[in-house]
Amino acid sequence: MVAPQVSSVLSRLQGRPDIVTDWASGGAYEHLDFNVGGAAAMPLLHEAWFRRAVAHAIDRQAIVTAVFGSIDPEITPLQSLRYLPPQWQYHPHFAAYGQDLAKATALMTSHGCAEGGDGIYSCGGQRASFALAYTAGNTRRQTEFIRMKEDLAVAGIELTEVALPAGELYGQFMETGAYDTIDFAWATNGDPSFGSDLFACTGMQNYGRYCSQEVSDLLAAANREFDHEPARLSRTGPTR
Amino acid sequence: MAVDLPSLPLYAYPSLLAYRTTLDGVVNNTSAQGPFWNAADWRLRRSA
Repeated sequence: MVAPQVSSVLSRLQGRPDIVTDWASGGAYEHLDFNVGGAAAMPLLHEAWFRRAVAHAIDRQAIVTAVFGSIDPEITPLQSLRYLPPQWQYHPHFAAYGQDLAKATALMTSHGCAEGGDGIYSCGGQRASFALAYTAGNTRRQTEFIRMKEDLAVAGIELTEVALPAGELYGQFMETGAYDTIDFAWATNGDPSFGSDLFACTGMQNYGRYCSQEVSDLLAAANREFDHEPARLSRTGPTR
Repeated sequence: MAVDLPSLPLYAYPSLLAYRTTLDGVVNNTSAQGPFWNAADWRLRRSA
């Protein structure tokens, strides 16, 4: 039995006559967590337009292919923060964020950012440079960091590395919002109520200090709703 | 939330499973319980 999940081990076992191998979409997802409201974050991360520029700079398809392509060459990026592809409620809201360097550049220049001599933008005196934290020794996440760093550099955004032991990363560092971004996973429960703790203004695990009263109200309503169809939330708008 | 972009989803983790052909009853499970959810039903076949 392969547990915990190690994709490189499984790919080596595939094809052996004495071993059965199988995979399915799991119940956890990897994501890039922005510190959108914390005082310690690089100030540009507080701006949605900058986060959109970051999203358009990153080739998420290349990342997921690099880390799990040996298991499934057809694997694609996740496009939701609340539901997973096997669920009927899943809708690819984040598909709008495919890699598009022209869009990333347009977002930067339309907000007054100017490219410096080293190719990195500066916006109102703030260098477009932020750090990505991940668990030290996790080679999969190191691969993700390297690819994001390369992609962002092409778009004139600098990404620096903070590799920390898990106990430190998921302790005070995360809980006090002492970060710019973190690459880590959330385990979902599949229920429409998932996300209240993570994305509501007062969510206990809302470490990035995201706050939209509209989203908070929708999450609270979903948490009180037993019927899954109205609790799905996506009916309230194409991007929520 | 896709407009506000507080986080950028990357990928759902594949639930990976590998076991010997002599083990019967193993069924993958994508929940947090993982592949051991029905371990009580597994049976080991004797080799011929």
